[in-house]
Amino acid sequence: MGSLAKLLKVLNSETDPGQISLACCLGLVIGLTPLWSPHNLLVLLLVLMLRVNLSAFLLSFTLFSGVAYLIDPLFDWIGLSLLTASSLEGLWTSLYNTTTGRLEGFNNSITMGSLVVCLTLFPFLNLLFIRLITAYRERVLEWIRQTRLMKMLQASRFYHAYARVSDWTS
Amino acid sequence: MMQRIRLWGVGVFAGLLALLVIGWWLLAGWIIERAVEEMGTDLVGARVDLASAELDLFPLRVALNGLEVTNPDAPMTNAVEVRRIAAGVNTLPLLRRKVLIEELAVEGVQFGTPRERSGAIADAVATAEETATGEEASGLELPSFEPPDVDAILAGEELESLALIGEAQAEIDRAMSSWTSRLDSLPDEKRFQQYRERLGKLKNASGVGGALAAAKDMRAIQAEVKQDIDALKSATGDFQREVKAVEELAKKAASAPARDVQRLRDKYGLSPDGLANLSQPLLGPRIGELAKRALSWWKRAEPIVARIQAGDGTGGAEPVQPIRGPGVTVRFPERNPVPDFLIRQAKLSLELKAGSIHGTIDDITPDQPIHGKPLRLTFGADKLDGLRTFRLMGTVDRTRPGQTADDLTLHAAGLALEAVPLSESAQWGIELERGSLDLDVAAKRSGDEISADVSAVLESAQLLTHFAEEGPVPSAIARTLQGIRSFRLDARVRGTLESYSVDVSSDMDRLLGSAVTQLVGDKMRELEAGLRSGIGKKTSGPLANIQAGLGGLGGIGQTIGSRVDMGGDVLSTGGSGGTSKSSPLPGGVKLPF
Repeated sequence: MGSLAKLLKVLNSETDPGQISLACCLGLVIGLTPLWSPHNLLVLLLVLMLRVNLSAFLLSFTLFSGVAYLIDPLFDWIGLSLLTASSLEGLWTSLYNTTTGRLEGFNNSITMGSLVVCLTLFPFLNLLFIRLITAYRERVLEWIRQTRLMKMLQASRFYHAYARVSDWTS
Repeated sequence: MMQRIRLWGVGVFAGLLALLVIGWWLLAGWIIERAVEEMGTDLVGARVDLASAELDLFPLRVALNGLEVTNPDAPMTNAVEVRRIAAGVNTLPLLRRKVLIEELAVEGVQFGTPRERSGAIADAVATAEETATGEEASGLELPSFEPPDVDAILAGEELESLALIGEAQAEIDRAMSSWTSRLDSLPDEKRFQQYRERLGKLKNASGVGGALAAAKDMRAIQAEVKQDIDALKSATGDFQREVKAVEELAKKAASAPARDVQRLRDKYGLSPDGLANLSQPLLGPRIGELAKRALSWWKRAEPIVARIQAGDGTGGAEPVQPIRGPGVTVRFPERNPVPDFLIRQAKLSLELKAGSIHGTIDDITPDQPIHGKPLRLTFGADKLDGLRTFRLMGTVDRTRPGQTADDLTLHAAGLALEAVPLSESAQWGIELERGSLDLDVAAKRSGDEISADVSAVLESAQLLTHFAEEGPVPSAIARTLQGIRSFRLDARVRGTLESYSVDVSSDMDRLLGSAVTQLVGDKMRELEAGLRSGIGKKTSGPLANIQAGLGGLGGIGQTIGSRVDMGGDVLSTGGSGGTSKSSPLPGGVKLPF
């Protein structure tokens, strides 16, 4: 319930949809791929360095970490298929012979599978999330704001007090 | 651009990274300590304790202090205790997940030190108990030198002689029964008498016609008599063959008691020849136990020099501990293959009571096929206190995948020994109170096949015996052993890792043999006489019955013979009882042909 409230708060805020979407996609990468993989240091750097929404990132990371346990067999299958594909053998062999490649541990089927899935989905999901957030704000949020109940609530002293506090915290 | 970047975020990231590195560095000692203890315990099957571990980052060095490896067979004793192990680790290969150690220093290695608390782990207790049971079961014991009770032997043994006598008797009974009934079907005296009477009547025929008819009838009767004689002769042949077979059986049965005496004497007695190798049952179990212990340690250490999973670096998938779910790590060919783990040289300093022995172990890696060099070990020392010379050399070669070629040679001279149990048998305990040992061991392993030749020469020896059995023979053995001052012992181990035999021979066998031969000989003669008498009592009656049965068969043979004679008589006399072989016609008529 707390997570849902956080999500709603982020969605309802004035934050740029691009920042929320990028945070969700970075959360997807760190959540779906094995946590202690070196590439996740880069993801963490990007999360802290770029102006992405941290709440959305943490929420996305938590959600996708849970999902990862369920779809590990799929990552394993995809990763092993790629690693054992004869047409890609030269590429993997070259990567295997680099320090970065060995450090990354790309030759593990789950690391490879999850990373490939995340990188493939990243741009599409980023666009999708932006559209969804924009649509939500334009239609659902606007509709809620126009309801009598919401107008009554917004007119109350309590809402003004909440809005002030909310501004402080954000 | 700057609107899209949080500078404080970079600072937080750097701070987090620094915290991670500092935290890891502070906890590294504890992490290494736990890792060594857990991995070591899994490998050995008993507790492995480490007092502390140190990690220096620049340059990267690891030091392990106070390593104690419990002896799985004696949990209150450390198999090995090491004061300090220090190694410098190459940093760059580490980034490629390669642990390369140029030099490892192992200082203060001691064996068999006492532990303050037991190092047994729950899983290993059952295994140790099973091992102990196995050793007990495989241990050889000397036979008793006191002859066992003859009645007890005969009560527990099935005598071959009684079986053969029973077989012969049954055959005689069958033959008697069969020939008695066959005699009834053969022509008998009454039948031959009838021939005589018929022939006699023919002689009274008168006239030429009567004479000719009588002659015809006479020829017919003669043919019948001949037919009967042939039947009797055929029966005689059958009878003689059958009697011959029965007589053979009876002969075998008659000689069987002597064979039983010989067999039981060999089984329950101790022949002087059997004493030719007393060192095998006396010392074989102890040497077998040492070989078993050595192989057990060898198996435990094997993962250090050979991966259980073939990892030749030429590709292929190998299962690894999954990060989250089941996963596999695929290996690809390396351009400049190097082992995942390699210690180029380990320098060891072993601290024995006699002094320090120094040695090196080169090229320790579980990836020998990649490294291309076998593990080699060399240890040596001279003029120690109680050890004149010590040399240990060995090679562990797994450079060719799937092939094993290990060898080990040990030479120790002038090793002073005190209170060493040579036989821990409860019945035949032997202890070397003191002595000086020259020992040579050459062991090899090729695949699953193992072989070891041990040659030991003991000088200035003083042996103590703890024999549970009393009597003249054990006393003689004890006296001889206590009087031995020097002896040579050779042991050969041959077989596979799972099943091998230990053959022990020693020049002490000659002394022991001559000491007990006379005593054992007397005992065995006593046993043999008892067995002969006991078996004789059991077989004499049945053997007499067999003789009587053979006599009965002889009577049947005589009856058949007399019937053949009767038939011959009828033919020769034409029924008159004469001896002429001509066939006179009735009325005294003589034919011209």
